[in-house]
Amino acid sequence: MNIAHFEEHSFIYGPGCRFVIWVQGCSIRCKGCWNKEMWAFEDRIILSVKDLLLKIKNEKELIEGITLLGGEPLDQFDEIYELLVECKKLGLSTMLFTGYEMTEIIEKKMSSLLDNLDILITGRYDKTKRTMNHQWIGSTNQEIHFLTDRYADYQIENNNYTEITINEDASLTILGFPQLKTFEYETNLIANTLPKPHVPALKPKLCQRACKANAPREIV
Amino acid sequence: MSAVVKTATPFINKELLLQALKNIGCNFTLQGNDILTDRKDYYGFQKFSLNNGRYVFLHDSSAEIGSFYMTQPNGYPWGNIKNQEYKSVSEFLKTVENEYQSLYQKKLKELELKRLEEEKRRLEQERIAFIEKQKSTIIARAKEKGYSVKEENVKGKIKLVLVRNTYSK
Repeated sequence: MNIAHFEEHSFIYGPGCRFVIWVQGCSIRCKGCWNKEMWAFEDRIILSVKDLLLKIKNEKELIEGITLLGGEPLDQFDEIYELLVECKKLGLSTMLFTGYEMTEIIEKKMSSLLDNLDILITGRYDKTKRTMNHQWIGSTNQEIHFLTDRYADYQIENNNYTEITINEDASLTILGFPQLKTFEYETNLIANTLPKPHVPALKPKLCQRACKANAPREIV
Repeated sequence: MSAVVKTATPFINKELLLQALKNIGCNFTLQGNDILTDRKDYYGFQKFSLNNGRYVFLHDSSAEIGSFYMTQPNGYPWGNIKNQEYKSVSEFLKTVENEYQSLYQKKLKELELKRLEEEKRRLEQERIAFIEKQKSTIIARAKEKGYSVKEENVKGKIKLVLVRNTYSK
């Protein structure tokens, strides 16, 4: 798998403490996307599903489940599918954010995924409908699907969520929808450690070639 | 012709000197500032005496030569040093000196390790203090802006989950 970043423990991308994986590479590329540096199909953190599972297993006592986002997770469908199946076997809950609509997932014959997910968030990021006040979604057109009963009683709380991690070396990791001006001083401190926003130089066709194994089934 | 004179290591540190004597098997008793060894000569027990900041070994000058007393049980200069073998004053002092130097080097290493440990502890305290300050600053600023803050500690990392109901502010 080509991964942009992962957090072993996060509390804002789904219920409870979760192992969160941002995949690298996105064929959808919504205008106004927050994570442009995750668009390119260039190698970032390359891990086999088996190795990633080992990392997840190491945290099993502390986490409730895994969450996948990106980038576009479904651009690495085979690996994502395998990962979700294995995580389900471990008893972990599964959650995935995709830019595809539910109808597209079915049309693209990726619906087998749905049997292995507890929560699915679908839909393009639409900057005209941007929200920082809803739980889990970045624009109000996006939809949250509870696909199993596991979180049937879960109450969505529409607030602004930000997670700041103070690492052991005193560096900070800020996740979620931070209103950065509030933490200007601290974010200035981390500016040097975060990957710089990167607009990929590769054209879409080259993108597919560069990432042949993980190439999306269809480019939208 | 030229003279080569080398003085013995001055025994400055009492603790090291006592340990050196113990290590080479020389019994001793403390008497004021003096360290009385179990080596005897005409004037009694040979001793280390504190003089101008160093311990000087006091003995009868004839003890170095050897005499009738050497042949007597418990006689001088001393028959107790390791395996009960005889050692003259100069041999005895050389043995003490070698052991003293060895202990001194060991002590230096221990002090260096201790210093490094203290430095490490100081750096660690500095890091923890910085993190605590950083955490307090973030929490205070977040609260000012209307966030509620929940703190989680996971594997040495502090996670602050900030939640704000944006419709109320």
